[in-house]
Amino acid sequence: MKFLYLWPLVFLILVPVIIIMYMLKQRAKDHPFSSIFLWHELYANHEADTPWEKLKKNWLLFLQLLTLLFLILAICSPYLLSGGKQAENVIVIIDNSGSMNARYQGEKSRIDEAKDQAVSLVNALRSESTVTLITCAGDDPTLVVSNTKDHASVVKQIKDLKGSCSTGKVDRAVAMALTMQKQLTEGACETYLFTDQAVALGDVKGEVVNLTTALDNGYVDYISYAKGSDGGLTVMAKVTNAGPDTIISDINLYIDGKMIGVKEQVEIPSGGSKIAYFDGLYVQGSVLMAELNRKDDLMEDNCSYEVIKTGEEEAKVLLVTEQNVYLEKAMAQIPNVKVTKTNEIRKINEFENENYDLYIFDGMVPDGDLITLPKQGNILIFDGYYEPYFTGKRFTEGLRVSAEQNSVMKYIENANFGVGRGYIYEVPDFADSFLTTSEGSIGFIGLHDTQTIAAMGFDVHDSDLPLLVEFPILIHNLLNETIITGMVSSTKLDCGDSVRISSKLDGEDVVVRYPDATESLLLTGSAIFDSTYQVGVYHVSQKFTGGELSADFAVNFPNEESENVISDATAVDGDEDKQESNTVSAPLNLRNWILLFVLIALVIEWIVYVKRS
Amino acid sequence: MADNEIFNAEFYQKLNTLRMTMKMHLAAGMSGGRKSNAKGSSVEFSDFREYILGDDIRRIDWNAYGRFDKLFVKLFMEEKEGEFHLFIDGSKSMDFGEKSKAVCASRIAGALSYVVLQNLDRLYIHKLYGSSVTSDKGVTGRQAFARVIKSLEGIHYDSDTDLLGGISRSQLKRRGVSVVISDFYTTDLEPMLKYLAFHKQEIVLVQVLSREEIDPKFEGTVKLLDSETDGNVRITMSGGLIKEYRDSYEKFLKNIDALAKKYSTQYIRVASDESLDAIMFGALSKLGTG
Repeated sequence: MKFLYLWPLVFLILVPVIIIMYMLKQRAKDHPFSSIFLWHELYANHEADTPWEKLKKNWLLFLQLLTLLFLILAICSPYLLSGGKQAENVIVIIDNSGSMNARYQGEKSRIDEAKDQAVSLVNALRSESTVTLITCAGDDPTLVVSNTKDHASVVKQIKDLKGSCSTGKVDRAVAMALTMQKQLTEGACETYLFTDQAVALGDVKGEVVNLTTALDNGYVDYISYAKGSDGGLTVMAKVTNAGPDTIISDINLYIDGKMIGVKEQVEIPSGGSKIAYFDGLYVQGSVLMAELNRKDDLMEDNCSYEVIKTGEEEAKVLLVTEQNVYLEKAMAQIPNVKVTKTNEIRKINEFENENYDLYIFDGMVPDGDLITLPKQGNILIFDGYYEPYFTGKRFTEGLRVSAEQNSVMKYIENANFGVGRGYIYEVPDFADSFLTTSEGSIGFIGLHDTQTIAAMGFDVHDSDLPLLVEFPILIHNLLNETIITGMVSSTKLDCGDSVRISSKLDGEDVVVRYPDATESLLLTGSAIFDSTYQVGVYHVSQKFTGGELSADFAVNFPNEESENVISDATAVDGDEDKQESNTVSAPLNLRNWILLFVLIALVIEWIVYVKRS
Repeated sequence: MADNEIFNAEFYQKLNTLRMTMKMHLAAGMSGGRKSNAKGSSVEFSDFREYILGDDIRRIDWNAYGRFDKLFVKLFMEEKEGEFHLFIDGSKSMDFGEKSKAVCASRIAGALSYVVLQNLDRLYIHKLYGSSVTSDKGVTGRQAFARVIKSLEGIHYDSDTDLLGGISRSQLKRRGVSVVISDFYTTDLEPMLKYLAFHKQEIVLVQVLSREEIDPKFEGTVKLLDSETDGNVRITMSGGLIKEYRDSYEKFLKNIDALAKKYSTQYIRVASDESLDAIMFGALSKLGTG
């Protein structure tokens, strides 16, 4: 038997305290009696002479001491080692992917069971054992705690662990455990994997705690829509039964939380799917939701969401250039941008009718006389100037360019590059410089009436800028400042996926409202948002001077996880030598047994007390 | 009705019925309202027996001599006045118990006095205070009952116990009945019985004990203070000790029982928390039947 903690032995100091209290308690109380005639005979045998004699045959005292000792023992958390399971290093992997939210037994979910078992395991470890905790929701496993002997903090981390709705790459967590196992030079290492997925431990030494149970689960695979020419919607929802029995359920369709259609009593055989069509829907709204209206063992996948696109998200850009590979490549990285290229500057006013969001002039700029800049859409000029608005002075000598304080230079404030030749601008009143040289500004941006006008006075081919990492960021920032279009890179995701949220740099912080109405803030500019752990519709908004940008995107429960609910985690080839069970074979923790003894001792004490009085 | 009021209305109400239940036998005394077991010269015929030398020849039944040719003597029930002595232990130990032993003892004394006086016998009340005794003048006749009650009410239970010392100082000149009411926490019980027997007394022992003595209930370590002396015992109570006390108590009672048998004494035991009914129709009614 070993002890998890030894500090509770300090409480042994209470033993003499109890004995002393007993001695003090033994002070006799005066009790008048008619005659002590009959008591005299008993006197010799039972008179309490000395304090030590008082303790003789005092069962209550002994029972109390016994209770105290058992209690101290219980706090010490003794455990029995069994079969060499006490490795010096333990890696605990908890699969907290979506399928682990499924019911395990009673009201308990698989993740709850995994957490409880993991806590018991950690509590039963020797105090000198190191513990590593890995979770595996999302694409990459998360190393929550690494090689710590602070078991209490590990237990807290395990208890605080929340189930996610995302997919889980358990095999990657196992790979991580293997790497860690190889790195450990001292002592044996055991890995305990709590999962409901089929996974092979391979070379990893340890055991899989399989939490799969045969459950009932139906789910909505997807929801999709099409808009008719008359504005009517046709919606399609696919539902699948992953459970062992045929299910019969209504399929409800909602728009913005309002029910607009029902398919009643749809029968779905075990392992089969059904597609429900809802057509001729002339309704207003932006978020569709299909719901499988029945209670089963995993409720998170009973709804699927879809955001109805308004069709305005994609930005149209006209690139007027002879050839600029660098620029085209950089722009290709930016989502929601449709670039049209032309080299016919003379026809620019014809293109103007196409209502481009942004016109980029690369080395070719209207003269402002016969050909003018478009009146709608923003303007970005490379290697040139437009005299009606601003002028530039040609320099053919090499120039060093550095960044100025400006939102365009966000994240690249230290940019510094060389330019062979270029225009030094006289920055117009409406604009601010963002690139400067020893001769003056070589780049500015500003708002002229309703148009954002930006200019960079050099050809990127004549500079070393494309060779720097700052180049794509600068182009992104520039486009971000000059294109106003949809904020999100995708409107339909699975839990755990990430989405790019583009916002205006000079606006307020971006607010993301989660399905549960909580909110978080994102920095302006382009940001990757990956906290998509809730199923539902996320609303993104940003306020800026003169308006507000907003967008919705839907996050659904991954179908892969819905299927995992009934997958058999034991069906893994090549892992025959690994121990697998639905409970972890941890060392036997004796605490509860000792507490039982304490309880028994208290009952006996009570009986003795009652009997004596 | 206060429990500690010695002679209350209930007490007087019970007395009339008590007379019917008690029969006490006397062997000696003056002529009185009681049929004595001694056959004497009264008018009420009792029996015949053969004449033996020394008999009063005036009692020879000559008619019987004529018929049987043998001398027979007529025996008559002699009516005598009995002499009763009530010894009441006035020790402090009697003033104990939630239901006071003193009250109980006084009531028993009152009840016995009533019976004695109803039978036109002579009654002496002796209050034992330690080794001294306070004896009232002998009284007889029903009209003396009020005086007796007043005397009993005047007993102060505050001395120590010395039954032998007290009784030996009392005047026992004639054959009679001595009733001793006490808890008998004494080692001098046998000498006391011897003394009374020597003075030709029919002895009745009435032991009064409180519930606290019969079944003590206290816990932990206690210092028992003797109510009469400065003595004390310090004991730690336990189930075992209670059992030993009960054994000791039983032994104590058996010892009294044995002595009572040895001296042909009537011995009754009364718990102070028993109702007056229970005492009168239980313990007291047995007196005289033995």
